[in-house]
Amino acid sequence: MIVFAAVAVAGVGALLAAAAADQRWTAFSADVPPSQPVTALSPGQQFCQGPLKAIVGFGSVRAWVSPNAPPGAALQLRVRSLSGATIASGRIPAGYGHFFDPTFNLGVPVRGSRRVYVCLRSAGPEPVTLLGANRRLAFLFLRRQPQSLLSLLPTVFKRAALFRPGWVGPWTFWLLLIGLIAAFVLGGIAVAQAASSDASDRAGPSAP
Amino acid sequence: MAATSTKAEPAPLAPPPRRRGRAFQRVLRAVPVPLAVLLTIVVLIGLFWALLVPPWQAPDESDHFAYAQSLAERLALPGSPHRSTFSSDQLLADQIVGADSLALRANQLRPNWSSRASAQYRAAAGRGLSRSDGGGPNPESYDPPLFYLYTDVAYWATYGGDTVDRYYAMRIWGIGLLALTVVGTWLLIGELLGRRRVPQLTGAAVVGLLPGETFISTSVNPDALMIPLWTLALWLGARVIKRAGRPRDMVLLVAVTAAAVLTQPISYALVPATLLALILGLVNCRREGRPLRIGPAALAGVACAAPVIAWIATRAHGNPALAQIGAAPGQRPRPFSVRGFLSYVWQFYLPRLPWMARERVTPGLSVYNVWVREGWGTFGWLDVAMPSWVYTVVGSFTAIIAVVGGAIVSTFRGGLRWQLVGFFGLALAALLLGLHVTEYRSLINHQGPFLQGRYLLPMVGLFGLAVALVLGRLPRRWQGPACATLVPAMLLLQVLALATVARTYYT
Repeated sequence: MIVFAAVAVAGVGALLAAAAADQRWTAFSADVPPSQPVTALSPGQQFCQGPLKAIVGFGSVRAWVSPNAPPGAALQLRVRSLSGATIASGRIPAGYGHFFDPTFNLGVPVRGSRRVYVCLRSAGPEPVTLLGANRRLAFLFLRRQPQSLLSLLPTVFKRAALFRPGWVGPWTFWLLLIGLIAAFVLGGIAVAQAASSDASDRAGPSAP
Repeated sequence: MAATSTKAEPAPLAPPPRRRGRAFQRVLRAVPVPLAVLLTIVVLIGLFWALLVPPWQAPDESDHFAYAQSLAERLALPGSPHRSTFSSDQLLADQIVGADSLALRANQLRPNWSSRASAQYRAAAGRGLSRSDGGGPNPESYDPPLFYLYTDVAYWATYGGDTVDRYYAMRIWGIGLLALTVVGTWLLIGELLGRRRVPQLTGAAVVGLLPGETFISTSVNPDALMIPLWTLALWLGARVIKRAGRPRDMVLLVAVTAAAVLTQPISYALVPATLLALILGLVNCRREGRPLRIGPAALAGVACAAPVIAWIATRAHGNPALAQIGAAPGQRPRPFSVRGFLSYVWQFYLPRLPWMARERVTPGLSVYNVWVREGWGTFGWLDVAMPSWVYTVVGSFTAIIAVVGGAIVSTFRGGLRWQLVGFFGLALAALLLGLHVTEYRSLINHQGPFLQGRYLLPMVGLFGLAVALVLGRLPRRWQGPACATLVPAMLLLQVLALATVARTYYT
């Protein structure tokens, strides 16, 4: 039992420490895979997509691009309100190769629950192909500050409860997490029972 | 004495409910406490897996669900060229969740996290879209229907719900199969090593808590049924050989083998080992007793072969009974050559030698990437992996068990032990041969690699046995601590695997 407890406590402790140190950046995604060319941006041309709902606040945006002839052109990404006003913007310099996934760090963060347009403009000189699927661009929205996996646990369970049977809610996953902790206790009981049973068998038929 | 008095009494046609209840209690009491506790843990963790993984994020799960739905709604196999593959009901859920986009892109995209979209889906699904307009061409239509009939029990039980309700009920229903694999492994170890709870618990825990196994068993996939059936077949085969072909064991072995064949075509690989076990069982029994044993086994063989033959016959003019590998469009297939096949097998397990043509264009050694990494667990559409050091650790553990287990087997004396080794070896060799021939055919047809780690999971019971065998040879005072290290280590691996899935899809 001592060995079991030592392995379990040390292991759980290590996992908790790893979860606390695991910094997660993703805020949400546009749910469009970067699987095919959507449009080619000529110098000075702009392509906007939206309106998109910012599920949570974000500070940068990742896109998927591929220059027709490397090196790729400088690109500017702007986040606009429904009225067309620029809320935030970021840019990447020229000089990248084929199939690049640049991260645009925005000057100011965009708060959650806003409905926005996301626009990309090329500075040229060569055209750049924007990637996505079904005439929609692929975007991944990143947080301003990363959050640890451990601190995100309530969010994880809230998200995991969506598109589940009606009886499932975040509480179900909290309960399962408690069950997972209980599994270590149960595992200890199983090992102790097995060892005790084998010891009884070895002691001979007179043993209980 | 009690047995004698029971025989003397006239047997009632149907036992009264109270007596039936007592029989159930007797069965429950017969379950060893360590096994009962392990099953509780496995069910709990299985439920976590079933609910945590986003919809249709296990390999080929959309196609398997479409097959099961076609069978449940139309009582017809999929494959009609005039119908669409997926029903409107499934397509709606798939599109709103973003399941199709997410498949193979778990590191770039996230599932739909919008609670509003979730509510919109519930409202749209409530309008009653057609569930029966699927059943069209399906890449899984060569699979026999047994697993789909099993999983449709959950589908029918939650018929009033929407697609998501029915889909998750099917996943949860798979937990029973996971538990069956654990029981099969426990029985297999007990049959061969005797009533030794510590090795039994350790071997069964390694199998029941293997992340790759829990992930596949709780997804809508015929592998979930094939794994326990193979495990039970290994146990029954060992019983037939060891107990000299008792009729009941032989009948059950034939039935389980037939069920495996009716679950996945790769289970034809189990037939030679089953035949070997039956022959060895008969060889081991007394000569005068053989006619009494051949009869039931032959009858069972005919009875169980009938549905298998019927299944193959239905395929003769329609969909094939095996996975079809045709040439890639615009590519000329290379001819099958034994030399090329051997070169391919070499390159799968060992580094390529300079004069060998490159057969499998994947980085690294395939035996590690496929059997070890994917076998222990890569999730989603094989695109969600645990940290690399985890696979190094479990790969080292697997190698130690394989080497030490092999060394122990090499010391075996006595015909019976070698008969058992022959039975297990034939099952493993036939499975590997079938898989490698299929992949080689895929490669020469320019269709790319075919193998996935989960295809080796039918032999997971043998791995549990090997763990128990190695542990059982340790000095007695070390066996308890070794078990007390391995069981929590497997639980920790489960936590790590679940955390990997959670961080990938929900952060």
